[in-house]
Amino acid sequence: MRKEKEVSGKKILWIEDDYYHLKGLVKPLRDTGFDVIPARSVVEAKSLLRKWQSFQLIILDLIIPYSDNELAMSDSEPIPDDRNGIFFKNVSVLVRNGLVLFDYMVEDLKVNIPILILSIVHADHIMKDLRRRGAVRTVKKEALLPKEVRDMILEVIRDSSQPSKDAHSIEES
Amino acid sequence: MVDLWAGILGFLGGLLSFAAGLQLNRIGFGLRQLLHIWRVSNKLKRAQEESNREEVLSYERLLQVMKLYSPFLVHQATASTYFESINTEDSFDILAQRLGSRPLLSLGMIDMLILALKRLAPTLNVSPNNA
Repeated sequence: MRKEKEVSGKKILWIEDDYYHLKGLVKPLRDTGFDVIPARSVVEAKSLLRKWQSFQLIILDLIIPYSDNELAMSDSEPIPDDRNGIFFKNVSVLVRNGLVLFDYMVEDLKVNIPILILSIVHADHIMKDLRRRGAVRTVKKEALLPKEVRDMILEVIRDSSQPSKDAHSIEES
Repeated sequence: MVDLWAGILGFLGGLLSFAAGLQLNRIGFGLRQLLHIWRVSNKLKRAQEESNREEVLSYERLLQVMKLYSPFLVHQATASTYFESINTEDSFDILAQRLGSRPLLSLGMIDMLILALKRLAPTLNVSPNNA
């Protein structure tokens, strides 16, 4: 596969616990020239996010385990207050992990790089809320082909490097 | 007195062997599932490389179900919440399709899928969507 000059060495943080998804979709990205760093849990992602400025894109799966040993956050872990009433309400424990991580990136770290949601979750109210709060795109992780993922990522990175464009207005149906 | 101790030790030894047998059975089952997951994930990778969307979708959904019921990968208690997050009917469809198709099936997969269906049934009964 041809390496693209414009993406050579650009780093993507891919927060995803399904190794079979990573296996099939990441290799074409690496072949294109991207440096893809996977994180398989909230804890691992938070550790890598300490240097979030080094990434050009964050891809977030919503259903992820909390750590290598724990699927859900312990009761002692503070869950952010619901914002506008819907953010953490009526979601399963595992989806909450992804939402809390998104909240951490946007509210605590205030990351200003594109965050792309790539998840099997397809609850409209959650996806709309994530886009409203800054997710550049929400894409259903289903039957995606490596080429589509690569093209989508290239597009998002190109859009984000053009300040005149409002990347946050892009929505996936 | 010696007979009593021998009896107690024998009883405890029996219990231990029984428990070990159960664990070995569970480990064996889990390893077999992991092997299946590895095989299907390779098929998924090939389908992705060949840009065969239909097969990609089938293998992805099959892997979702397989992963949910692997004692090594996902805690059983979370299966119901996970299934509420994805489309349960789709998952049933794909299970039915896979049970009816030949290439993927092996004896190990059949018993795994039967187990998955058995465990899915109570999940569906308590799901708000199916109330």
